[in-house]
Amino acid sequence: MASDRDIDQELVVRVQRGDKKAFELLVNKYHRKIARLLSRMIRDQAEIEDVTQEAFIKAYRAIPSFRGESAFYTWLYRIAINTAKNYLASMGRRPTLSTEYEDDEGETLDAAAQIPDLNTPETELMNRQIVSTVNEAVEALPEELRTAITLREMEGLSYEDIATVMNCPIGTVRSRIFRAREAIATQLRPLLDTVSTNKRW
Amino acid sequence: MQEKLSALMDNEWEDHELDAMLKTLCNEDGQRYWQEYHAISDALRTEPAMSSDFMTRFSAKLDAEPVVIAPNAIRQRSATWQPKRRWIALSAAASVMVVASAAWIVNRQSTDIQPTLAPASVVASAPAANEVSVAPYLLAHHETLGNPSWNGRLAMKAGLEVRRPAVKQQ
Repeated sequence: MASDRDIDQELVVRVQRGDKKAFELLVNKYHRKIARLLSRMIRDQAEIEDVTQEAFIKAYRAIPSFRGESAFYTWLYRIAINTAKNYLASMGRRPTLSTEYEDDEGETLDAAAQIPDLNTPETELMNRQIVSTVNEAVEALPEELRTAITLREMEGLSYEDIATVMNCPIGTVRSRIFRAREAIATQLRPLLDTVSTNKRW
Repeated sequence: MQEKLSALMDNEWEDHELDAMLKTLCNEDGQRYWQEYHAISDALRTEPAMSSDFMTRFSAKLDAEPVVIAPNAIRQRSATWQPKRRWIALSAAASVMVVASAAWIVNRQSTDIQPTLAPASVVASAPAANEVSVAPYLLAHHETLGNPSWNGRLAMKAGLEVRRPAVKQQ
């Protein structure tokens, strides 16, 4: 079942064919991760979001130069860091901890990032609500669903590896992960609906 | 459908389903599930929340951007982005058939070319003067070239365009 291909690259191919919607899917996937990365260079929440948006627009304009030689997120992280550096330079500020971002490996950058100081009242409250809702929903899951979603999301295991760990067919893993996500989403939906009413996403 | 979308975001899918799943992803329901599942994923990893209108604001900015088109940008697969092995053999077999057939067609009109020596470069250069002869053959066998492993791969398809051999002179 496992494909050797990567959903990000599949989406990038479609963006390169002129499909903006595919790019929005990538933004939806990565915007929180990019914000966390930039929060180590920029402190203000509004500025972080603005620079995150600018970084994605720059990435969109540069998408013809993405040739699939590195992972999409590595390429994206590099653009985000450069966008933040340029932003800080234009503001006459120096980036904090800038030397930690010279590494080309996205994994290193991601692992080095810490929980940011995103402390406006709105986002702090929403963050706490989302995290607590998701964690409570995970705790309430039947054990086999909780184990499957944890191995996938927290440990990053493939379905094949999870099947080995849980001693069950891959199809069962796929079903358990989906059922776990749906159970969590059911709890999360009212929260997301309240913040996205009448919005496109 | 949602179970397949869930698997899709984990890079776990059947190749022949990919195009249909990506179409689903771009409709309203597909986007919602994509958003929810990634929100769950990020919450479990304690990624920060963003302003509720972040995506709305971004969509407006993106709408204002000229559409970028670069269909052949991704030409080569990275080491981590290879088709399944069982299709490599089939693809190689299909390529050999095309090369051998093209060489045979060329050979019918030029006895100087040895059909037993049929490297890829022969296909790239020899049919230039015989594009009319080769084109119908490739058109007729287009389905053979588009095996499921290459679904949605415009870069690969572009490499197999009928006019390609004539363009790529050596």
